[in-house]
Amino acid sequence: MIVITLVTALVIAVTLGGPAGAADAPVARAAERARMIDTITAIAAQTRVAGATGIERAVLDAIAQVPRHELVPANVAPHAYDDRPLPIGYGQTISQPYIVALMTDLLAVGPGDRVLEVGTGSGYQAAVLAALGCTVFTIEIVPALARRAAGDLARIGSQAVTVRQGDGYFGWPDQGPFDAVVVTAAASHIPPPLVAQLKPGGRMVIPVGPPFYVQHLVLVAKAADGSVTTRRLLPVRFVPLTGRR
Amino acid sequence: MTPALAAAVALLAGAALAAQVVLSRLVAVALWQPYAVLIISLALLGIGASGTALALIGGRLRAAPASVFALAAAGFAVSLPAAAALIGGVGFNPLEVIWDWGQQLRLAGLCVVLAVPFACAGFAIGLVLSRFGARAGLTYFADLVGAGLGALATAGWLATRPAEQAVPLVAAAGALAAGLAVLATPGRVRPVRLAAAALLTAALGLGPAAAPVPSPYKPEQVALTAPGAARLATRSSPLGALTLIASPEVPLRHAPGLGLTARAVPPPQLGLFRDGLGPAALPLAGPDPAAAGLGYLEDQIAAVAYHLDLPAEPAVLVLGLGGGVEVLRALRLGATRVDVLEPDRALAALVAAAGAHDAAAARPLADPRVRLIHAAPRRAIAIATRRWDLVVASPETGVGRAPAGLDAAAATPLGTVEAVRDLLDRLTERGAIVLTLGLDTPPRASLKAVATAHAALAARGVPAPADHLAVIHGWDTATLIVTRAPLTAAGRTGIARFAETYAFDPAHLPGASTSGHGPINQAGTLSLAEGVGAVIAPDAAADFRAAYKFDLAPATDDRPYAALTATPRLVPDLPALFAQGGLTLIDGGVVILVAACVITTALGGLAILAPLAARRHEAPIAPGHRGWTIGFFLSIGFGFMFVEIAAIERLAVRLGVPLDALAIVLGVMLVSAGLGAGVSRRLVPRVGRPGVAAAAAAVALGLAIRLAMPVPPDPLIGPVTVDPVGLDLVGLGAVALAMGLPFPLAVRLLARDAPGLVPWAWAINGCASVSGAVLAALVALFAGTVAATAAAAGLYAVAALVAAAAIPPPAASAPG
Repeated sequence: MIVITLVTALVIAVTLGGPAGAADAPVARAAERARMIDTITAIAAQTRVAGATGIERAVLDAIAQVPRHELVPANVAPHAYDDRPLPIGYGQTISQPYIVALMTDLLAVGPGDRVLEVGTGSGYQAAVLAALGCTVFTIEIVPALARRAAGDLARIGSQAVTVRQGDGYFGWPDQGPFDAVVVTAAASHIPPPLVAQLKPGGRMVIPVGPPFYVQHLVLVAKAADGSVTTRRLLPVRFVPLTGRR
Repeated sequence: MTPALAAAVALLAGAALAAQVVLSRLVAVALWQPYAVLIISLALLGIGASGTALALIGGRLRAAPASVFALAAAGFAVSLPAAAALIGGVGFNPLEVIWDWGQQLRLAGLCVVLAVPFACAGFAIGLVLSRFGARAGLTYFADLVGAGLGALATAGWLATRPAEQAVPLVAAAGALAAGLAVLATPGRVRPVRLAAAALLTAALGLGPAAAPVPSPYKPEQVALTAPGAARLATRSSPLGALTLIASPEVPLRHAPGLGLTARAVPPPQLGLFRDGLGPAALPLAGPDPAAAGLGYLEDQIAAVAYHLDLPAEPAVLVLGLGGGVEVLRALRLGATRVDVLEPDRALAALVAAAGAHDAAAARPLADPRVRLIHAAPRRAIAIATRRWDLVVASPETGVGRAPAGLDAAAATPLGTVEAVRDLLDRLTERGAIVLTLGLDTPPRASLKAVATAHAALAARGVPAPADHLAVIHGWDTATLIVTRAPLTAAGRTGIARFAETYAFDPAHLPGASTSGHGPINQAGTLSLAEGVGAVIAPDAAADFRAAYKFDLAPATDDRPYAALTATPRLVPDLPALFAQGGLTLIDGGVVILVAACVITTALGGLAILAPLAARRHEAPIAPGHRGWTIGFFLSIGFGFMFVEIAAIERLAVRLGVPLDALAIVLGVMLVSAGLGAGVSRRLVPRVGRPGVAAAAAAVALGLAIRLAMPVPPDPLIGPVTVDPVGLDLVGLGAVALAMGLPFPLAVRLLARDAPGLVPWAWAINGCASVSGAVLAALVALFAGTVAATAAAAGLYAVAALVAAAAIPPPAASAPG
């Protein structure tokens, strides 16, 4: 009995607590991922950000492919598929799955698009974009996070992601222009070099808020003539404002 | 009671109050200020719990009060440094509280640990009070005067020194109190044993002063994760711990409100942080404000101030120094004179010394056109003889705003109707106030600022305030322009051209349509243009404000909270917002304060009821005295805190430095009340129902008079200049003198007729003081300081009625 209990505990620990091996990555915790997709779909249907009725199927499929638990520290891996942000060290977090889905959806990218990410963090957002068929260039300030994300992304097979440690302010001119840009690092302003590296017709998304919370998302759109507009989007349901609408 | 024991009570009370302030600062540095309120409030319940413990087990200990006092004071001295060391060390992350229930256990554990020193101090003082109930006036005198002096000493220390360095000294004061109590122990104490005990306690108390471990999620800590980033300098000030950070490999480039079409890139900067929050930027662009590297200053939304219809070389008043960016902007854009109103000397010193750390640092204070004004902001403006063409404030003139509206409960002395009115009075005829602030979604603080400016113009008798207002916004900032005279055509053209050049949107521009073309920066819900239009509409503004989800009432000196917009109308949205992680869309600081109120009230109630429940099978102690005891001590406990909190908030607006306000109010109130308690025995030699009721009624009357005699807003200038702050404090001291009477008189009565209830009264008073402070803060936030003072008058009136109606005559009561 004791042996059975120990073995069961070991299996649970390996499944939930520690990083799974590369071999079982595609299938591990698939049921949890499926539940996470259901949650994302349900929240998106309630929230209707930017008038959209939900998240694009391709985005959800991409999220379903990425083993989120492989990209977070072992101590929080049991919660990897909860719809909540998680600490990843160095004062950084991995975003709530719904927010990742929403941001990816707002970028409106697809296979072959080139995407710049400023603030790699865990590498999860980059992995989702890569799963959509994008080529992703991602920059992380913190050397240890950059190393860890590069290793984890390689381990789960996200070949289309290139990680660089450094200052993301000036973007990645050698690889630009980009179809989309994600700025997950705290931004007091939209860096002019990033606007310059965005293709006409391209989109940029910036989440705004303290760690663990996204207060709103800013969607930056560059028109064909190079002019830029912004739109602030609430990721939560909050209507009506006056009680009379 | 011996003089040595009375001195020990005073010393321990002073140490306990110092511990309260110091631990609050440490929590604020490690976490965020609103959590300091929550955590320290819960920890202070230790005092109430000590009364509960006394009621349950104190009877056996009352035989040796000095010895037990010494042990408890030693417990305070030993536990305080241990508790301080654990702040930030238990892994509590408040940002995860909503997401992770395990964090709530850590929070509870932290509160329990921090409660230990307060429980020790409360137990010691409560024991003396219950043992020497007939001398309650003397004990209360020592308690209050000690606490008042402790508040003043602590504020003096924190003005220049880090909070953690005060911990060993406060612990040593506790150890000294223990030593004094040993001296008061009857019989002979062997000197060697005494010396050994004192040394041991001092050694344990005077441990190393470790700085608190800050949350890794505070902006300063995040900035320090960049390779090569380091602290260049630190300074302590009454407004918080300041740090100057350099990040040479991944430079800081902070430029809120930079236009979308800006071509200039901000230069590398040094970052200024306060209590780990910020940054405010200090550009590394050399000493010349005209340097090419500072070109971005012209591309930020705050630069619209210099496109108004102003003299070519305007005189500018900058409200707050920050890193000096607004000063540099004014100098660069032609100001002939720049006055900077900054109450924090430590910040100014840090900015002035930045060049010593990095030769490339800008030198905003070195220019001969710049004059630094160190003064309480409201007083400085009230007595100013100069006139300015421009008054500017922006996110870059402050250092360390908390994220997500956490600082909504902070008073904003220069953000009220009265302050804006005073500033308008100090402008030249074509002058303007230009305020840049963060844009919130849904719009609220920005709309409240517009409503406040509109009300200030109306208060000056302006017939069409909307003609004096303009608002433009970008994707994350909005700038409000308030002019003394109606905006001129040249001014309107200047604003419109600036907005067009840098891709900002006009939300309100007199005589111009804001909906002529599609907005460049769209809001997801209500647009700022719609909101501003509704807030200033002459016939519909009141209806709009009444129906809006957030509070848009103008900030006033009575409710000086420019960022506070939470209303009960939000309550139906809370469950959904909580479930979606969207609670930060409302004022987080208020949510935390409400949580603190609910938890302290619940736990305090348990602490009060515990002695009754524990003894439910025994014969009740003095049953005729229970009812009035709980009613009376709850009323005066809550009432005292309502007066105290209202006075602190009122003074904070005048001084601009909350810690100074806290120290002065506590010093005046507690010392005055202590003196009242000290003379209570002489005033009322034979205590009884009339004396107790009359004392409470006197306080109620005094508060009513205080309410009826509003303090003038400006200094009364005549043969002798009378400062309104001083006048206010004299009135407060007079009322506080009376506030020192009810408690000792009632305790003396209990000591005579129901001595077993004295510890319970101490527990009730302790718990009421804690939840009363939090509740008073909420009342001040949502109803104003006048309402809080009126509530205090009502509470003392209730206490008087309870005493008059419910205290049984001596013959009818059974001694406990």
